[in-house]
Amino acid sequence: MNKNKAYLILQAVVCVALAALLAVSAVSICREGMARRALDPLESIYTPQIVARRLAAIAPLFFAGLGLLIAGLALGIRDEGGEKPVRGAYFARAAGQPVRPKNKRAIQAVILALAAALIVAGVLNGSARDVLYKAITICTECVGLG
Amino acid sequence: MDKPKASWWQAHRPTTRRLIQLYSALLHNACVKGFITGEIYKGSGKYLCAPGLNCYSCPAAVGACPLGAIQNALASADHRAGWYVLGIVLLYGVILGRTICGWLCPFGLVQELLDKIPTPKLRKSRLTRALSWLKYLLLAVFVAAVPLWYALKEGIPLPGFCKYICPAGTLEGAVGLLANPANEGMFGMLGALFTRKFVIMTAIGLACVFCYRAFCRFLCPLGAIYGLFNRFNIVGVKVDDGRCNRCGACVRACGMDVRRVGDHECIHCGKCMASCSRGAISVKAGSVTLKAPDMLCAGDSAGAPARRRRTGRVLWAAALALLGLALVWFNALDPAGKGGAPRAPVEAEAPIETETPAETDAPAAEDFQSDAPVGHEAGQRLEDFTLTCFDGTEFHLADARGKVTFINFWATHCTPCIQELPYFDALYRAHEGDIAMIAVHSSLVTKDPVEFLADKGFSFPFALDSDDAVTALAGGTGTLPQTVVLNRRGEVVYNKIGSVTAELLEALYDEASR
Repeated sequence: MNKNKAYLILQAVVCVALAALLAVSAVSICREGMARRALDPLESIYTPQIVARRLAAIAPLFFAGLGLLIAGLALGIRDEGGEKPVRGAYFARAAGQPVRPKNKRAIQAVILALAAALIVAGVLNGSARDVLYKAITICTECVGLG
Repeated sequence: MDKPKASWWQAHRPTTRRLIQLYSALLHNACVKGFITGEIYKGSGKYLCAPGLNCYSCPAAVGACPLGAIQNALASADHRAGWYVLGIVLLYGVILGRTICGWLCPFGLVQELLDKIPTPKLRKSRLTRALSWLKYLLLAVFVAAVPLWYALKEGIPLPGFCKYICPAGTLEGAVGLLANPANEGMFGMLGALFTRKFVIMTAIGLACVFCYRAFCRFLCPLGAIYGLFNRFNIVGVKVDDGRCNRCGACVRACGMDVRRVGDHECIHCGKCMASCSRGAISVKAGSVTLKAPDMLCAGDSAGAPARRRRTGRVLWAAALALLGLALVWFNALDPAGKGGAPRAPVEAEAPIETETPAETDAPAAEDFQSDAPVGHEAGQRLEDFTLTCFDGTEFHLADARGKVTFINFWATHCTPCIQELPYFDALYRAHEGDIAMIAVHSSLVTKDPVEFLADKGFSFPFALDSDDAVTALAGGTGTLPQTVVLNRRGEVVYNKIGSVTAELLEALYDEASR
């Protein structure tokens, strides 16, 4: 195994470990918090202190991975196999067939006109205002807060 | 003689496409002061959907997310057709198609940066090509079917993809807000939903490290929508059929699951230009060539390269001037950033009088006087207000002294708000006579709340906070839902943003009754 390959595998292991630790930390915080909340409904599941403690435990691995990443980028290490073109006929069989329809310009003109008409109709029927109202209000559940 | 080795900078310097991606990400998120204040931008810029996937709850976002807007338009299908969003998507689709994915999408940039982490990479294959159809399934189920089903059958607006999957929402919206110490109170609402979305975001991030643009290729419904326009888009990579010898080198070199340049998987990044030995591929806007193959440029007249450089400089200068203007406007000049967020036209009469003289004959009200300072934090006394309810009666907070008071801030366009209303109703019925309760609708009205409540049969009063004065008294910022609980002396016991459960409400009632 050459040094390049060893580096790539090490970096892969660090990435997987980091992601796994983040996911496991989140799940364990949630499970412990749920247990606390079962006893007292006013208890918070996540608190800044608990999250900070868990992140501090992961921080050494994160910084090790970051250092490894910087070293790898500085040395120009990359998966050379991943950069090469794929082999086999599957991805080249249809390559030469044109994807453009014959009446492309007419279709473009129709879609543009339709888009303009719909935007005007949307401004008139209030759906543009709906977009604004939704965008300036944080729906906590929609972004995954709860 | 050995070929001179390229310097590190020559090998790693950002390409024009990377610079445009960075530029676009900054323009999508030009309200950078949001990261300092911890609040989202609430100005008129959000009338416009941004082209790329960029959560509108990101503290810096200045436009609406097209995918979120599509879901909300479908979730409003029971009372209003979302023509505006449809028109915007058609416009972006026909002009740019998936060129947006390759050049403008901020989340596409995040994925490409993750792909830069040197690890063994998963190469495209029949399997990845098959997986690329998954995004159409997600589009059909989570973006279209779930919001439509809940809107038409349950009357609940539920953006399925945002709620259950979207990693951009988790990263930019949830984590972006939580990272600010000013939003420490938001931790209280985190639970199973956040955990699930955080794990999904982590898994997608990890997939992007090992597989080029994994989210974009397999999961992104916005890319799926734009892909439908790839046959007709005006700006993008075009193949000169006269020059092409059908060797397939372009498709083999492409990181995406394309089978032909310009098909629905092509993000028009232009990487294939370098692989074409015939110079058949170029980036065009209609008939205007934006980027020609090097071999065609070699035959240009002597002044052509200088002309191209000059044009490039002028375009970059104009683009940077636009970015500078956007940064100044959204961070310093926009009235919305100075507390002047656009207000809804008042659709119902809902006068508010703060500090109403307490003309009340409530029994023994004097026994419940509080010396606590006025405010909205726990332990402080909430300032008195009066709201006219939808049934014509008036709710005076001063009259609620001696009772445990629940104030719920909600809106018809807020899914968790609607889902928790029955819990409030059950609590109100269970403790009727010892409890005062009002549900205050946000000033942002997308659907007539009176009409919405008509067949719900709730027994407690509802009112419209037409100028957000009550929201301001309670320290609200427009983030919904919010629940405020006062004890019998009118002092704040609980004031938090986020969903509540029946158990929590009962516990809060017990806490406030002590």
